Amino acid sequence: MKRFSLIFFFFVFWAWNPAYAQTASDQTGPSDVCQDMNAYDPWEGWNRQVFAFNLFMDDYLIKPLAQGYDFIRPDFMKKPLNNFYDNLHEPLNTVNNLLQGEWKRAGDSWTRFFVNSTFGVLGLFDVAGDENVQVAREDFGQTLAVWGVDHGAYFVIPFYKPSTVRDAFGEIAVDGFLLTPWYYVADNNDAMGWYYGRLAGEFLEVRADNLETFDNLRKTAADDESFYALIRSLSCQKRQAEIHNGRFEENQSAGFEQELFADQP
Amino acid sequence: MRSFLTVLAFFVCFSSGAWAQSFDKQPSMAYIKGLSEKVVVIAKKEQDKKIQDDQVATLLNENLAYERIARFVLGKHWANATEAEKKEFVDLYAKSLRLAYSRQILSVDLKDVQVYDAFVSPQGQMVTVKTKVINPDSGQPVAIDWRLIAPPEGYNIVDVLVEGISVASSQRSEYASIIQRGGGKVEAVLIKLRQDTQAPVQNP
Repeated sequence: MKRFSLIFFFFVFWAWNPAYAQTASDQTGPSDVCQDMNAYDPWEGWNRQVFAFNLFMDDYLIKPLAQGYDFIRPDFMKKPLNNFYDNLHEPLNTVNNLLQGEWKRAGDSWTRFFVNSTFGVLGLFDVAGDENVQVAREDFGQTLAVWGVDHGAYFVIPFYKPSTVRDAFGEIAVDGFLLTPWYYVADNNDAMGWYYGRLAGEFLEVRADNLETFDNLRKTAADDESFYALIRSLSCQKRQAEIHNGRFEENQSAGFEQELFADQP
Repeated sequence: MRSFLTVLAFFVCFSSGAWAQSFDKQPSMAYIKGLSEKVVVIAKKEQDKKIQDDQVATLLNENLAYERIARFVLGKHWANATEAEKKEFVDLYAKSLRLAYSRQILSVDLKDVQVYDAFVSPQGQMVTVKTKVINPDSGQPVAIDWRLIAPPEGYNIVDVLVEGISVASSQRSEYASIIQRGGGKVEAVLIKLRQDTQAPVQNP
């Protein structure tokens, strides 16, 4: 609990720092958030160094591991493994949908978890999806965004996806150690090794699924310096889409339209 | 008084909300559906890769608003560029789009593309058409939005959003970073585009 309190106060200081409050709110102008990268990324110096470190570790450790895993993983197991890991997220999706007041989506998440865990054999088969019960993926970072918390600075963390102070706190600290039931199951059964092992397994699964996509994306950038800027933009936009569950098209269009016709009176 | 009320009622009925409701979605949706059908014909009919690429390139030339997209992607640096730089940027950028997208378009099965909605932008200068296509690798539907402008001669595409991620906005961010590291000069991004398209170096 003491550790959590320290993390909480860290978050309160950084996320509510007035320096970051000047950025556009996620609720009112999602396109503005991702247009002004100078405001979005005040820690650019640090972030670029960590990004370079992550690329180095990916080139020499993570990607080779993922390639090896992809080689031994049978094709017919790709979908079931994806389903298995997705199913483990459904309790978190349920709780965060409830916290956001998204009752139908919470119901869908719980239905998915129950049906897929039983009829879907521990989540290996997406039986609920076959019945058109859609995935409603949520995390506490998105919940904080819905509650009006500013995203804070763009934040690149070693061995983790690009994030922001708010989202890193929400996904790592709160989801990882407070809201997810698997933490308590592992802790009560003296099986934290399994808990972290499952996280590592899921990380490798995602990396193996995106080997070609990541390589193609990296090739489109002029160099790794530009790749940093591209990933920053993509992660910002993707995050906005996740927070708004795809329901923000009009706000996003307003900002884009204004820039597209900026030369016209 | 009565004529004032009539004018007021007229105004209320034709306020932005009412006008937005009266926006006809069908022409823009039919445009995207028609484009996808043309791509399907090219993919099915022509086996020679070079001819396929040429036909898709022609389709892109007819339907992408290259200069408008190029201005957006260059952002505030457009105003600082010389006329020669602007021209070269538009030409190289158009070529890079054709090279990048001709193969990708043909790899997606557009036969069953679902064109399901469209809405007009707040200023009325842009239309977004919402579609879903099936990802050939995962078999899962992918949301693709098409942003169009409607000049007098018909619709043109200015942006594509894949699962909410704008291609034009992503490139704008990347190019801004290249220009910033190149001392604020547009030449820095021209160098990248020349390499990408293998175009010869222009005389200064």
